[in-house]
Amino acid sequence: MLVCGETACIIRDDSITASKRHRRTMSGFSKLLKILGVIVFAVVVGAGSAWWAILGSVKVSGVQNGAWHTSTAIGSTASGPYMRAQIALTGLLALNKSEAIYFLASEDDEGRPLTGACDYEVTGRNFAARWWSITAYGSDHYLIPNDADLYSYNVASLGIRFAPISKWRINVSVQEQASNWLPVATDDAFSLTLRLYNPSAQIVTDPAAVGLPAIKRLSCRATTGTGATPGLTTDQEAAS
Amino acid sequence: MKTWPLWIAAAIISAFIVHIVAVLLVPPVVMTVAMARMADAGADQAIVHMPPPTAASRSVVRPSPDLAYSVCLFDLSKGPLLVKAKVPETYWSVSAFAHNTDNFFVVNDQQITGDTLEFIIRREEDELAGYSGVPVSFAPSDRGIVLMRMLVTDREQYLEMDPVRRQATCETLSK
Repeated sequence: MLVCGETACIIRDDSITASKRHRRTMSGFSKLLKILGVIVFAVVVGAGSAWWAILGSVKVSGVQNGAWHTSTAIGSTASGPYMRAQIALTGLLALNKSEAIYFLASEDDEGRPLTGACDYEVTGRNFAARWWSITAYGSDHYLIPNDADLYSYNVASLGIRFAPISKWRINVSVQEQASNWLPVATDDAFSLTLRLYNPSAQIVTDPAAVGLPAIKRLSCRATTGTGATPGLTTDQEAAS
Repeated sequence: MKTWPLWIAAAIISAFIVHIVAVLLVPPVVMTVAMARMADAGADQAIVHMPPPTAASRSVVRPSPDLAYSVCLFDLSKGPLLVKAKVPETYWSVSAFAHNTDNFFVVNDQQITGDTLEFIIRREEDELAGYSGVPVSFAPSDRGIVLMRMLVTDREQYLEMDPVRRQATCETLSK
């Protein structure tokens, strides 16, 4: 009995120790999981919210004018941390408003994202600035490769440098256009930047009141995914 | 004792810290990468003149294809930077950017008296003798970028103006 008792005691002791060890292991494992969860949450939510806040900073704090938006804080020392980060990612080395104002459009006049799957006409008049240009950029924010090496139009190439009230039109499309063709890439999102160098004092003080170009979607190429030749549909057809 | 509230609080606080750090780090990190690419092209040693950008130009996002850029890097820990340039007869500007992307200096061709530009970028605490009368711009960071933009309206004008802009120099002065 004594032996048994000792044996029993020994066995009972081992059982308690093993149980404690198991509980401790589970507790340690649980703590590790929680730490891991905190880290994953912090990285995903922290970095994700930062990314969302940075890319939305211009729209939130900037000036919206039709399909175009800008911020007069671009490039200046008054730029907040979100604006600075946004500029670093999408417009590094941008000048301050005393030298240039940048308007950016990534949607058409009806708020639909600009895409190479559709054709657009961009129309407007001359601006009260020393020089201006409209440039197309791919979703990577670089110039869009094309055989014609056409990336932008400006007050001179549109032939209205000395015609302040003339209207102009740019045709944005994947396919070559008869006049003022601005090529974009098939099925890739794109955006337009309007640069006004040495803008008038009126533009600097009230960029929301500038008559900016209209961006109208004309037609879109429908892709069937069955190998059929892509065709053009008008907005109404595409919507129906 | 229930520890879940503490873990949730820790997660929210950690996410907030990551958010702030990410926002603050983006500009200097992007700038450092851009400066490293420019240094690879030799802009840390002398001014580098580039032709108007094309789709192959990948050193800086959203470049303007209507402009010919010239660039040099400065590191004021090595000494002030003296910038000299001949002003082309077209839109032309010189701008300087701090390491946090701030545009702390800009001047264009119409604001310059005469046909040459000369100015110094330096730290406020650095003394510099022998350059009295030369305009000074105080940089908010030791490292940064000097960028010149020259408008290119057509190929003929570019060929005419390119030699003018190529007379520009960036020189690090000994303290």
